Amino acid sequence: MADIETPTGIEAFIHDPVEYFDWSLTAMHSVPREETKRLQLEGLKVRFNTLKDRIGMLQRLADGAGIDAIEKVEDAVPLLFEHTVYKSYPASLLAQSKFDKLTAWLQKLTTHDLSTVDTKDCEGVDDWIDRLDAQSPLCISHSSGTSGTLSFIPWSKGEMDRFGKTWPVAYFQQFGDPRPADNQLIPNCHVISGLHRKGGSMAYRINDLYAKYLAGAEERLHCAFPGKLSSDMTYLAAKIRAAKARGELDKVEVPPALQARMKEYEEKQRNQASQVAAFLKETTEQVKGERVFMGAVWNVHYNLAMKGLEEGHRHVFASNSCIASGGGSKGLTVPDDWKERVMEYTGVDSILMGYGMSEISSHATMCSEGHYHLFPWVIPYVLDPDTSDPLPRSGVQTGRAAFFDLMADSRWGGFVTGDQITLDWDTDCACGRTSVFVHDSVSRYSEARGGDDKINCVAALDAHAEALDYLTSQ
Amino acid sequence: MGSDMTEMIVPAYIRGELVEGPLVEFGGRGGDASFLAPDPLSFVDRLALRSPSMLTDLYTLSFDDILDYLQELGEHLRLDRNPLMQEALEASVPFADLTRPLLQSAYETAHELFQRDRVIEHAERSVGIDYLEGWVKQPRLDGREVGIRAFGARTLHIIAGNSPWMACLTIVRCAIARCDAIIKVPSNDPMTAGAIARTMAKMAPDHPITKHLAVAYWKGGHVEVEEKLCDPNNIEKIIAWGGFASVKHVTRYIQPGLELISLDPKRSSTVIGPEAFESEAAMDEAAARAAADIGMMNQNACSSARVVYVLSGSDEDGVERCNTLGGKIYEKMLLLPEAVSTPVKDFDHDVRAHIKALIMDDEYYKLFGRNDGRGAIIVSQEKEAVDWAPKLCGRVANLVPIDTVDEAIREMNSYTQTVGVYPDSLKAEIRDALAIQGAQRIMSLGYVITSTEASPQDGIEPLRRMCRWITDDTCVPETTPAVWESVLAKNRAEAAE
Repeated sequence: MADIETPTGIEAFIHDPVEYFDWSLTAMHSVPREETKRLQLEGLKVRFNTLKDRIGMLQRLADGAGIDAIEKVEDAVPLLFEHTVYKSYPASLLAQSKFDKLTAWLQKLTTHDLSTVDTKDCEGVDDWIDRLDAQSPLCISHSSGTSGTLSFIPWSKGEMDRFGKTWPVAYFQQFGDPRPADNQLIPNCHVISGLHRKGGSMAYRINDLYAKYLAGAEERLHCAFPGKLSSDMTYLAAKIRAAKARGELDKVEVPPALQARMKEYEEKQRNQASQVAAFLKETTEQVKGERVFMGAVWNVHYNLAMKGLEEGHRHVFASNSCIASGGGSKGLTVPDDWKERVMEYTGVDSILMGYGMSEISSHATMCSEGHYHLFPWVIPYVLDPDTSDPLPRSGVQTGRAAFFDLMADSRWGGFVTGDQITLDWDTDCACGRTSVFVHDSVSRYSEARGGDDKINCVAALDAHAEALDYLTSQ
Repeated sequence: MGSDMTEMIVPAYIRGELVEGPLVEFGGRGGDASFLAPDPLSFVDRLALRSPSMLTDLYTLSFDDILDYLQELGEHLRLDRNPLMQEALEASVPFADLTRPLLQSAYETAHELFQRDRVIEHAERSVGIDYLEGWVKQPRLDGREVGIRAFGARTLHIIAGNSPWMACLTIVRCAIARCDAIIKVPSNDPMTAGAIARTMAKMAPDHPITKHLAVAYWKGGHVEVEEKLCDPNNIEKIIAWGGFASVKHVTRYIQPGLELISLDPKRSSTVIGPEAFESEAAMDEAAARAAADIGMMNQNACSSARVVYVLSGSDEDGVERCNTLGGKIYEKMLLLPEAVSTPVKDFDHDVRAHIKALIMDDEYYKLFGRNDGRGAIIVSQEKEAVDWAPKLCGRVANLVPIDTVDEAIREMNSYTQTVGVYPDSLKAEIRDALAIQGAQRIMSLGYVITSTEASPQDGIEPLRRMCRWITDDTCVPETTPAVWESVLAKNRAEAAE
């Protein structure tokens, strides 16, 4: 381990924490708490001092709040970015393909110089992302656009790659085990994804990381659809959906160039569920008995398992495979025995539950005690849900989760989530990890609040979207 | 939440009888306050009026009796002399969307809705008192005489809770129309309707109007409760405020014999004409009027202004004019009296997050005010509202500079309730176009806080629709052709043979 007392030590820690901990999960989760606090504060200071004058929006926020130095980790709370920051551009920039202006807006969120990116005749989001990929160090990730606009998070290629290194560590090492041999660091397993191979959202970007750091070779990465999920189509579909909900469908103009593609996209969407099911069935047969990584929300695993079990298949993968899940119930009723059924089908002896988000380079995985342990390069905050003031960094606190991702070096790593979490700051977990942990009770504030029968005569967007969903599903 | 809050009890009140148990806990999710209320399954069978014939007692009352009753009730509801209302006010504070001064102001003025002349106007303009009182005779071309009378119905009201006035208005409407009323209270105003019901029971325990009111809380969507209740054998009409959120659970019960009157959720806008920039005084006046429409009830009403279209022009000078107006509106909003508008409560996290993002980048939006819950005015620097405009709340409005009034008109739709317009000459010019586009109330800017219940609401007439419109046709063969006469004529002819 590098010397953490020197600035180079701190810089090594925040620059590439996986290398810093020599690829060892055990080392990552064995840092004494006081040491973690010190590392985090020093790391935060470095990030603030080096990024403050280089990220336009951060600078304005810091100037407005009168913050010119970080003395303690709480000092960064007013500087945590809300999700709104990543979609604060006027919607017309995207709707009218003003990609020069969109690039100028994005410039305020990253240290990388985007002035040389050529957006001339840029036809759509796909085109714009391709150009950013080709002409800048960025590798942006956008949201699924459920609100009718896309958020853009300016990940860099370097950040993405360093994030990739965390995957084999988090998902294939056991806490307490020594660091694997060099040739064992990458599991070289089969990775199964029910999605497109490529796309502009993190869910698709991550396939590149899977290929490099889990599969070790492209041919072991199995995606349901070999091509790219079009960001233009995702955006357009979301926009139409939002416009319908607002009763403003007459205002959506679909460029003629996209109309044909839109039809094709809708057709594909319609058949997607059955195609994914067929793909999963076929692929599981193909990689039978092999070591596999498969991460998905619970019902994807469960449906696959139930079908497989029904057909008499059991223990289809090697027992050292990793079946990972997370992301909540998705509004469905989760059967008590879903994990047992999935384990019986796949042959693993546990389902690895993870908690993470596409804005930060960490995924907290669940230990044997049912706790999500945070990596030391991610500084957690628990905020008062009403005031956004930080709750004490001691005891057990429930509130809005926020994180500072120290690994981010060209964008600002501070992010406020929409999640309600319960975080234990003091208890030593029986699993032996020294890292602080989040209880298995993560929920979305949007679902938790106001859900209890508050009736109001004021029209909100969500209500309309929900109404539409409901009406069209009848 | 503290234990003192979990102890609040929302009793049910069924036609004069208070139900206080067995208690179960409701609410309390995501940091919201929780309360106790009797298990709805324990009383749901007693909620509905078993037979429509039981409405008969309401017809022993003259309209004058109803006026007397409401007038007296209004006097009993005066906050300074009614401990039940005082208690309801105090208990409502943690649940209400409004801040305490605004809630208090609403409670203090609630009795006005029950005043005799106000009820007369309400009934006369909405239905016609003659039709409520008796059979109104109307001749028809074919010679018949039709008697028309507006009868009450057995009604279920799923009311909104963003102001205690919804509970008052519902009780007044039901009394006017001689309806039997079951009020399902919302969790953001669980107390008001019950306090009024208990006041009625105290004031006139055996009065038919008292006997035709039931008030209860259950969680909207409680299938067992709603399945039992929402049946044409029990009720004829459901009046649901708040649109989809409250309606989605009951739509499944709608069938012939059970009608839904939906008071959909709405948003409201403002259009300010170029006249606002003719003088400093005009700009001050337009700004003060707009500030009132934005700030009143802390922007908790569907009639609250949110997006303000300003005919300032969208060139550099125009945007600058719009910025100046925005600054003035913000200043004036802070000067609104406490009974009208205050710094907000529970400032929506999402809106706060959006404002934080605007603080970080002023290229496209100029911001007056901050994230301090006192409100803010966002001035778009291009002809485009923020794309999260439907979420605007907490005294946060968005000014959009435009060049032609059509640019404002086309932004209206069926979700648009009120459009405040300055000046009135512009209002006269654009009202047809606004109405055709979907807007439902066009109003002089600055007056949304002053409302009248004696007009259509949201493009419909709820009180008229709460009535069952019954006809009585009197026909005589001398004037109205009658098929049965030919039968008799045939009989006569046969007899003659």
